[in-house]
Amino acid sequence: MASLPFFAQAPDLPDSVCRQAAQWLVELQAEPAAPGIEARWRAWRAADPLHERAWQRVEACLRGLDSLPPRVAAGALSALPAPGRRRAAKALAVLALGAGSGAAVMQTSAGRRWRADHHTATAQHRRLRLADDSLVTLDAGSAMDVLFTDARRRLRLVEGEIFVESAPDPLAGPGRTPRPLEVLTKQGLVRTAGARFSVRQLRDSTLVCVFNGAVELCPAESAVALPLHGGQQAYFDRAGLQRSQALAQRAPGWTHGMLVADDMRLGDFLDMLAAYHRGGLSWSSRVEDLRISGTYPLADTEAVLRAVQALLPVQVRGYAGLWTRVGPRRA
Amino acid sequence: MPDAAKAAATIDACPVDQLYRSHHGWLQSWLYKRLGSRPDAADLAQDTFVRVLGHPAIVPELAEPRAFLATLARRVLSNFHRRRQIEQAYLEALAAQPEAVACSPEDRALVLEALVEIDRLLDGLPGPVRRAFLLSQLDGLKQAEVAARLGVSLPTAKRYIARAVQQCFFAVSRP
Repeated sequence: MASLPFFAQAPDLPDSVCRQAAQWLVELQAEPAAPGIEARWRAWRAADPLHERAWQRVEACLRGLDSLPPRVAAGALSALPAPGRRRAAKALAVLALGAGSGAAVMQTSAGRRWRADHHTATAQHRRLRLADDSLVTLDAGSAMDVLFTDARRRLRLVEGEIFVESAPDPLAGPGRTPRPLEVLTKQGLVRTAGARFSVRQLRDSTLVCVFNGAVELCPAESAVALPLHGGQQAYFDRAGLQRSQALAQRAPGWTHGMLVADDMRLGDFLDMLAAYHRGGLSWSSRVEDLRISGTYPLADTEAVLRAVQALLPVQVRGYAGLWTRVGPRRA
Repeated sequence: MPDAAKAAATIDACPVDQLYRSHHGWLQSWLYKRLGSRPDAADLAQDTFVRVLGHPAIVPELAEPRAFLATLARRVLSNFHRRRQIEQAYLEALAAQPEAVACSPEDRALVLEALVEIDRLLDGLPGPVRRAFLLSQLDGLKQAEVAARLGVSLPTAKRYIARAVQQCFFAVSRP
């Protein structure tokens, strides 16, 4: 079960923005939806980074609520008498507010994405040539920082996926060993002396695909570096390797408009798809461990979602055609 | 003064430590009188002092340390009772399900934790507003159904839901 976002500090946002985000949720959940609401909702989100941040919070909370058993949870809380006066301790509560209320703000992924050196929006790719002549392509909904120094060539993947075609270190020479090219994720480091490879930041793991050459995986809490060669892909977390398998492609599927899944967790699959989906896409934690394989066109995410519904015991429900939720199929 | 003696003096002078030494026994029996269980009283006394650690700055200025401790302990106690109530209601709701709900003890603990948290976040909202939130966001009822259940108009139901969403999703988390 996913951990719930309520335990995390709520972002420090103006009341008016929080109220608007709550009202948007209510409008989006309304059936039937008001005409033109999609455009207005998008405009609101785009109008101010604070709006986007508030909306991210709404989605995170919805995902958290979704991990609760529906009838049981609501039943339990409705059966209770409304809480009695717990105001006596209000003064103490106010005292406790001081610490850290602003700290969580920039940790929301959208906030982090904007602050990154390079980022892409929905259904957008970006190709960059780095100072060392390496080529990096950012998948949709991705963000990365470039942290090159004289001592190392490091990229930090903040979100999404990058496809790296490494160039030899231009500073290498007689008496000077080449700096490896490194990609840092939340789970550890991917390091290479020369490779074409992709790195994807998933929610709780990193997926690495090596198309040519070789890389080393260095999980953050492991003392062992794991080699990965061309034609292999691997998932790792902070503790170590989760699994590795053969890789048939010569480049990431998304570079030619396809989402290629090989026994992939549905949660990870939807995460990749969401970067191409216009409008909100969220899903229940009860479906995210289902497995999916196949090649799907990213240009038509609606068709992909229909295919997912045909293949797996899930139900895809559109809220007014602008916000889509994937949940377990009810009997 | 040698270093070791200086360190000892610092610890002795630590106001929270002093508060703990002087009043821990008193607090534990204060709680025991209200709970009737020594292990629970010991746990909650500990929880109370953990809360004191949250604001050490005011400790040296306390004129009435026991009143302060009792105020904190009342909050700890009220959360403890509320948690028991939620646990009970949750188990009853589970038992009332037509088919068995597969649920590991770990899942159950996590769900309970979440319910306590949601309950706390909804604290202070009027009953119908709470219910509107639970029906729409946890049970997935349509807004028209929520309005019908609560016997209010659709715009009112929407206003209730928005108010509860705002408080629950954006409230600053309190310990």
